[in-house]
Amino acid sequence: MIDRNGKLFGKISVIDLAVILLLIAFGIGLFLKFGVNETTSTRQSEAPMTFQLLWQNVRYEVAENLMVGDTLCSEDGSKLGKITDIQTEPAKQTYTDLDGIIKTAEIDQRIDITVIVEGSGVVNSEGKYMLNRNYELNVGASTNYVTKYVSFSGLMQEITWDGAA
Amino acid sequence: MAENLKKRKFNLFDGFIILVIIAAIVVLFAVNRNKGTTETEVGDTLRYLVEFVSITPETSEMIHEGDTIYTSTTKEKIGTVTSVEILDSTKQAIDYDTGRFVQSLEENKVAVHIWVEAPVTETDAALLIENTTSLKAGLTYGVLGPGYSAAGYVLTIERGVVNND
Repeated sequence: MIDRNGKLFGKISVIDLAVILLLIAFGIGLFLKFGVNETTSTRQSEAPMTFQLLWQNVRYEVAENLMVGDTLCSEDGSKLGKITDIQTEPAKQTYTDLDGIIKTAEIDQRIDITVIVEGSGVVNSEGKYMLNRNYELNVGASTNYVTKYVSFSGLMQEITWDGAA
Repeated sequence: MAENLKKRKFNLFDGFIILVIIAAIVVLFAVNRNKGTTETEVGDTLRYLVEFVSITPETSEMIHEGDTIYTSTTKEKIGTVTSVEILDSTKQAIDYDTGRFVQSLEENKVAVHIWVEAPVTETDAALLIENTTSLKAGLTYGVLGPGYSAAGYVLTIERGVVNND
């Protein structure tokens, strides 16, 4: 089958055949990733995706490290978007009073911060909000985020997408 | 000799291999486009404020300007103390009379604020002290100084750097 020149049936070399198979596999991989896979498909165009994060019980000094215009990243350093607005209000927490009733009280010298971030992404056919096509956002999820200056745990409160479903 | 030269000629499949390598590099670059890129400014110094919470007065007396401090986890140098301020130690507690969370004084303990200066390398998503330790406000680091150890909470990182030039 393979002759003394390393050719298969005397026509094509084994190495050349391997390269052809590799190219075919590479082409199939690209098609699956960018043509078929819902998450990474480029058939649907990206549109602005805005989301709100709640950072609770924060000291004033630490809060000042967060600024409009900063880039928000995931913990692994992937860019998620730009901070477009920061809203603050007195921090609150629940406690059980002496009669056993659960109440909410303000916390001295602490604030709750709503961080509004604008990025870009898609909503796929399953209704998943995919920032940069590869980072899933979920309302109610508490995740660690970072900027160059600060790290915080943010509770996802709201996601809006300006694209066509 | 002539036969050897003939063997070294590029054929169509060699060209394919080169194209595949170039395509793989382009794909890798595209996939990682959202990761932080390094923008190093050699010779810059960063100033940041650290709080040691709830330490004994005896420990606080060991902290001095000029101390070189290290992280307790990696033993990497994280800067030099440039000022020390001793404050009351407080803890968050509910005041049932007013229905508010207040910062209650903690007996026999103090808080210490230290300003630290350290060489910094900047990337899009991080500030690296001594090229190793990523510094973020809102995080607690184990700190080792000459003869003492404490949990240091980073309160503030000054924006802009102290240029040594």
